Amino acid sequence: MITGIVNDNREALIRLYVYGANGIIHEVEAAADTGFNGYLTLPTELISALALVYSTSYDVMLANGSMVETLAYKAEVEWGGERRSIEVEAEPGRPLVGLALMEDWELTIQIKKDGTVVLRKM
Amino acid sequence: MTREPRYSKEEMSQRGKQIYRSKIQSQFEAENKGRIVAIDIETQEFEIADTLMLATDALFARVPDAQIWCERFGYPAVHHHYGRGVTRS
Repeated sequence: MITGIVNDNREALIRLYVYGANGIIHEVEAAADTGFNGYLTLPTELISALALVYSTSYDVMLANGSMVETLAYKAEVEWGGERRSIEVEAEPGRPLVGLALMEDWELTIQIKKDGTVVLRKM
Repeated sequence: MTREPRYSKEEMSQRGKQIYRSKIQSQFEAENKGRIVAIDIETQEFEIADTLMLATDALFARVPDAQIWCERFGYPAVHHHYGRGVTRS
């Protein structure tokens, strides 16, 4: 089970660990984003600090239908006690967890300040 | 290891899409809707798989210094991100 909390900005925050090169492990506080069907976004400063390896580029479609060319990096994360290989998209600001990382998990959010965020594996 | 993009985002997109549309889409899209194709824009080699990781890992195994552009068959983009802003740094 993964737990988190809703902050006063209505962000459903959870913590996960990202493995960098040379054994660096970085704790990340990320917002669950059900409008994102990728894995995880991280700002470029953190991608550089973790020395994540560039993987590929591709289009991401925004809500208005426009396309944004995006850089993705190889990463390993600890998710629910498991170490998983994912692709991280470079995006400024708050790290965001997408539905691909939450696949096969059930997400429950009490949508209020200090409400609980719970992910249970299905 | 280190790997860096050797081309601008615009060139990656332009060359990747050109290879996808001219050599891959018509032949493979019908049977692979929703799957990912990873394309090396330099050699035009490609790999098709269920996920980004599998497609890119398979292509890197064959072409270790590939410069990869990905497409998702049957969709306009690999991912959608509805809460993301248009303005990019």
